[in-house]
Amino acid sequence: MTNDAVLIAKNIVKSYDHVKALNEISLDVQKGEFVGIMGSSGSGKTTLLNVLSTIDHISAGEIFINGIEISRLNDNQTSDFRKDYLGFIFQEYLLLDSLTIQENIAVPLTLLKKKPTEIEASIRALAKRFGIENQLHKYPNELSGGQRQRAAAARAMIKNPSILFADEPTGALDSNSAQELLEKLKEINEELHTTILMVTHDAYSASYANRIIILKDGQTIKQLHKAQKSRQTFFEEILEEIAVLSNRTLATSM
Amino acid sequence: MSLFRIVQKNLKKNLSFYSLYLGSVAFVLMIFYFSISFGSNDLIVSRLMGDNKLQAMIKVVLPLLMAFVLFYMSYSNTFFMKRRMKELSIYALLGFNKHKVILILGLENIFICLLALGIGIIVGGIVYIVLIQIVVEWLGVSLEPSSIVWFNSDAALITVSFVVLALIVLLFSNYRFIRKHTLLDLVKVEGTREKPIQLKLWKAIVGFVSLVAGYMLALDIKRGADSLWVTVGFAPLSMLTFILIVVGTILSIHSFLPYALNKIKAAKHSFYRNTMIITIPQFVQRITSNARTLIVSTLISATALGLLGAGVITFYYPVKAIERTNPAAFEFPVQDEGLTQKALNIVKQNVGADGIQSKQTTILEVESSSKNLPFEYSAKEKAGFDLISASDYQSSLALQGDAQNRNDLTGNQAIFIKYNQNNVDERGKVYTLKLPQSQSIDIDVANTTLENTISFANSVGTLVVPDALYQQIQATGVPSRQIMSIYGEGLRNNSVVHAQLSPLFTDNVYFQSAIGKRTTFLQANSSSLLISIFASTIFLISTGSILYFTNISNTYSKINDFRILEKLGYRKSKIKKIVNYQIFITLIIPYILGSLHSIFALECFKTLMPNLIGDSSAFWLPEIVAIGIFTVIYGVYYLITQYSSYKVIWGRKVKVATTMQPPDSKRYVSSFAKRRARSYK
Repeated sequence: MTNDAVLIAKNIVKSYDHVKALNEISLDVQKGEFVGIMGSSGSGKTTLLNVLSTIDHISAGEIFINGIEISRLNDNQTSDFRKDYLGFIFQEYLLLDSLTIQENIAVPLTLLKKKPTEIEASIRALAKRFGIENQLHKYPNELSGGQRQRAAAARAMIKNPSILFADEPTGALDSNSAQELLEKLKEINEELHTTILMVTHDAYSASYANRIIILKDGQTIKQLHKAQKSRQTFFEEILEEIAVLSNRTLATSM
Repeated sequence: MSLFRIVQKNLKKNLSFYSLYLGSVAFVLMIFYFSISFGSNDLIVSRLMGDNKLQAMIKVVLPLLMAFVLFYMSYSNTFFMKRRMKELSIYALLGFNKHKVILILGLENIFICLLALGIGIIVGGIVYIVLIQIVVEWLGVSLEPSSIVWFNSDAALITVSFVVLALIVLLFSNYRFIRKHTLLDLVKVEGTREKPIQLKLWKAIVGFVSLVAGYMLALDIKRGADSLWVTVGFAPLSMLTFILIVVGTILSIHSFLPYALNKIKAAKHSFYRNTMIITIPQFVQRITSNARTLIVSTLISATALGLLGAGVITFYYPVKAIERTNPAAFEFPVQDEGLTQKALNIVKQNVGADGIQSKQTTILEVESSSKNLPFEYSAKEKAGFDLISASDYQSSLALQGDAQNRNDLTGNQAIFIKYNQNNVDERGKVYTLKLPQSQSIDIDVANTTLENTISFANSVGTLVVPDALYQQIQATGVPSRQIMSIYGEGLRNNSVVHAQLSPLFTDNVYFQSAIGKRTTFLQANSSSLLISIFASTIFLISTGSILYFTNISNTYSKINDFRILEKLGYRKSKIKKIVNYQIFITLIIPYILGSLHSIFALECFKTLMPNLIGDSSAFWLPEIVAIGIFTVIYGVYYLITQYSSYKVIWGRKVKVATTMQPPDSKRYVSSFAKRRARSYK
């Protein structure tokens, strides 16, 4: 644990009807880090993201974000915490279909009671970065999947969150749109030093992260670091690791 | 799974959504059954209403009510259909053909209507028995207990026939709906964005101008003889006003509303607020169907309020005006001294010598040669002014409980007693009175009043003159007549005295009794009041229910949006605020427009009734009563809708399609409340 840690989780447990979906997981995410969480279906990766992002609560353990123990917050404090510090990108975009793209992106700033001029300036800047400046007055159903996800990313980024949670952000996208989005995430990570925690089952998406945490049966079984490796090399390393893990699983089950 | 099993499961699953629909239909059927049962009890009705007016009115009003209830049921049914599009499409995907889907919906409707029918007849029967007992007690009627039965086979038969008719209408409406839509439509229609209303400024202007013109035309009737209602004609003007109001309502809501919403959106400072930025776009998204609902609700509310207000006015005014039409408890012309003494003795025997105060007034009958005489001058068999002395007037007022001194007339001054409050001001006018032997005398009207001391049956066009002038005119030998007025504490409500006095004055229209008049008015108008209350309550409850279904339907379609807002950091209280705003918008528009329409309509209606009670606050009472009932009903609907919407959003069975939704959503919802409250800052 260093002083630059944005997120610290200590021995967290999440149980559903006496079944442990997360079993004594500890991890920390440093400021400006891009962390990927991988694992097969049922490994607990989405559960982990939910508890880390205040959407669900833990059964035991402690989670700190910006030094605040989020498991101790009540309903209103949790909402305020999300409003102030967290950004989200979901697989299904979760844009509000009755609002235009501009209005969707504006929502987090209205919660922070920013001035209209400030809101519009921020939207323009981010829309340009995400290549959706010509789509601002359209409604979500008038956009392609890739454009929608970039709009969702812009909405998540507009308030400069302490940490951006992304849950399978490329899950519903074609390969080109997925790559475009991942490039953008990488860009904001590198240029704006946004801390990102991304859940994915896809090795290619994961290769954009600096560090990969691999889960199995609710436990951390491996961590991979990109370090100075190229993305391609890192991608191959992830694939190899997945193959090893799959073989091990196969061998255990035989 | 059998069709019956599917229907059973559907109804169970949607119980909370159907409960209000079931409740409102049961209520309507209860009123329906009760009205017919009550109307068919000849003995009670004739004692209560005096004649067969109620049956006649029921015959006219019931078909109208039936048509409206059919409309309401079909309207509500459409909402259910739209909400269940996805479910219907799944049936179709599973291989159910359209006939089977229609059968499922038909069976559901049959089940709900039968349940509502059962509840309606049982509760209607109970209400009937309770009310009949109260009426029997009140009227002192002796009824064989066996003749009061809660179940009236004729009423039940009519109610069942109506329900069958309603089911046929619903079946046909469902059939059309399902036939019209393809499988793809069914899958897509629930989430599709409605086509936005094209904003045309001219439509908004025409709408606004039509409304204002309609209101102005309604008020024009107050100008009396100069008004367009008199010069052009009542029928064309009433039709024109009606058309202007309806067109104005449609265009104002259809064009003005989007225009206003656009203006709000354009005003960045008000729009970029965390509740407005959600509320306005969500409302705009459903603008087409919302506008339609608001128009229907506004027009129905206005009709209901107008009907209720008119019923209250027709009932309340004459009763209120009895203080003027019958200032004394009993009054009759003194034509036979023996009869007068007999009458006074009857009163004394009943209330004692101390309980009676009588006053005999001599009225001088004088004609006038002036032009532009008030209408009261000729509003009787023989045209002319009735002159009474100031001291008689003063003492009569004192007996009525008014001790204020008005005996300050001098010279040829007079006070003119007006029949009703109107626009004509007689003050300052001079009337020349014709006296015998070609003499004449000019009278100056110093003041006018609505405080009469003699009933209008015995004196209209009355002038109060100073005693000296009165004696001077009386001395000329003008014709005169005597009126006996009887006062006394509690005498105005003494039905025993009335029953004993009236046989003495059979067929004498000049015999006036305050209690007799009140009974006549109550009998004549209570049936119309009863019908107007029933009809307007049904209308208001139906429009409230229509708005309820609109809101709940909107909320259902927006559950995911509210979940997204929670994830973005919206507090539950803030989301509740958004929901409340949306409910408020849909209720406030019909509330304000409906109230305004009814106020102008009632102002117009009131002008048609003689305003005997003056421009007092009591004059506004019918409007206050009608709008008060409206406010209560809409207030209750606001709370019910709010409660149901919260239940829809945070209810236990809510499931949201997102991978980040925890598997135990039930626990997720409840855990928030249990979380320990500690500050993170």
